[in-house]
Amino acid sequence: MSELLRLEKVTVRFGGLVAVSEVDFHVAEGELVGLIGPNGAGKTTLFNLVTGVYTPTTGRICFEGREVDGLNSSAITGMGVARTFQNIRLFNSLTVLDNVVAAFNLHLKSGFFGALWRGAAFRAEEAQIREEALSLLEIFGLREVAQTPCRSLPYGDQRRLEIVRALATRPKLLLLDEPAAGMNPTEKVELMRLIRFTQERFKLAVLLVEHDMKVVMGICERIAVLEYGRKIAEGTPSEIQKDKRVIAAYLGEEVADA
Amino acid sequence: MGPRFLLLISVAVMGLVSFLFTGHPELSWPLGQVDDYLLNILILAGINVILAVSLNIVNGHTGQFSLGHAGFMAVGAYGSATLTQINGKVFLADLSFLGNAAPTGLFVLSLLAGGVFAALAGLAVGLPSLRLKGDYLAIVTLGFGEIIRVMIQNTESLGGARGLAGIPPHTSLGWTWGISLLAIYCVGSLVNSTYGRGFLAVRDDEIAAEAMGVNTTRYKVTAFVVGAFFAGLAGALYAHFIGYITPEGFSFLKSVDVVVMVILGGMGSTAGVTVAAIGLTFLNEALREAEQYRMVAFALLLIILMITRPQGLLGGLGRWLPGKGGKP
Repeated sequence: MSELLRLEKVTVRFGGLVAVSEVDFHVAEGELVGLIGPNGAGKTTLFNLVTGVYTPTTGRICFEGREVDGLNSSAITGMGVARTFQNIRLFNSLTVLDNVVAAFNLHLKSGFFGALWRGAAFRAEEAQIREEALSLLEIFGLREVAQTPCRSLPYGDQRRLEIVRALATRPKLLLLDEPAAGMNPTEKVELMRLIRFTQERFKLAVLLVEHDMKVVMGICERIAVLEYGRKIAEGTPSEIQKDKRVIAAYLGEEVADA
Repeated sequence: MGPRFLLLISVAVMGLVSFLFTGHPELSWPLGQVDDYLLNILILAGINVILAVSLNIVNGHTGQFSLGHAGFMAVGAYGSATLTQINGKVFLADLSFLGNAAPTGLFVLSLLAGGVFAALAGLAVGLPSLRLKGDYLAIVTLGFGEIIRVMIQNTESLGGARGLAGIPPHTSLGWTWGISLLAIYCVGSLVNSTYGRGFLAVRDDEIAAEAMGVNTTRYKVTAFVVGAFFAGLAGALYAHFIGYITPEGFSFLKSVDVVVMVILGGMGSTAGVTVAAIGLTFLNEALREAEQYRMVAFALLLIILMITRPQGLLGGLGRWLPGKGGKP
């Protein structure tokens, strides 16, 4: 397994606040890695660093050996990093299908003039994209609702649609930001199955930020723990569960003579 | 009916009408002589359609609030007039090989020049200012429109504040509506494609659009340039219709007029803004008797619409072209 994403001593400061501090971290091809930590530990900030929303103050982020810090989000997505959002961010005025179609933009051959001229090549490509988008939706059980406005979907379906949309960019690494948030236990079990399935079917590496320990411990091969922007532990789920510093971060230190 | 059909029609209308009636602008309606007054209103309506449809790609589809459309219109009007009026004799001599069609040929060139100048102005304004959002962008574009106007006012070779008179009246109904259809076709085709979903994605959520690989800056600038190009064409048509242009005619109020058409018709609905542009042109004429109370009527209309249909006349009713999969 070769290395896909590498963070070297990445630090980001917002004024006096150090949101992420000297984090070293990597994700290998096809790996399913979890990223956990108490609220405000810097998990989403780390996602935003990897996807180019923020630029690290110091340190380096490489994807497939190429440095990505300083690039536009869209350029990084073009390299093969796609993400979902903690608060769902779909294109609300579009249909379910068009949400996915919009994400095909990246690999589009016919651009501005193609759309104006509408020649045979353009029409063939449009039809092919539509077909691909529909079959992606089919895999995730959303084909039935392809023509409905995405904002009228139930919450769980919207989360799934976000994953479909991210997959349409043909990523090598998929970042999922709290996909289980607001889901009930049944939906969570279904989500775990879905994430595993996606990883295997599309041969992706997945980096998962999640608060729900059942989900994280259930599917991740490796887990990294952040606290106050620092990485305090990394290992297999069973190692993490026993780690003293992790327990302290979540539950507090044991006090000697209480 | 495929969308290319519309393109064909628009080119045919322009070609046929300009061929049949070269040098006879008063005969510009294919059916023969039409009441002059009605003809003038129809031409004005066509120009307004071009303006509204082209502003719609910026304000409606891409969700950027521009208040500088009159500025681009001015660039197009003055840009084209420099070819036909200021340097008309020189250029006509250059085109003498076209024989009788030379004035029409020059007019076509001047239309293109107006569009291209305006598009370049759009690029120059768009590149730095589209980093801004919402109100800030509105203020910058408003400022740009005023800068253009004041610059023209102080350029003696363009007639300064006195304006530019004696522009040859080439604009006919055929030209105007041909180009209107062209604008509708272009905006409709652009938006109704995988490429064009990018504009809508930018409008709905810029952060998500970036994360899905849509280069938001490029899309915004593209929308701006396309909008400016057609505003320039509209300006050129206007100049060669009225025959006399002044910087005052392209003031901030003209930009507001176009914004009202877009809001009234429904942001992002090509059919809606077309209807609104035509309707408002006629309403403006119908209320000519009422003089200054016209503006009161417009304001009332806007208020009523905002209360009853905040999405605009035809907003949210699906897009026009090409009809399939366009339901919201």
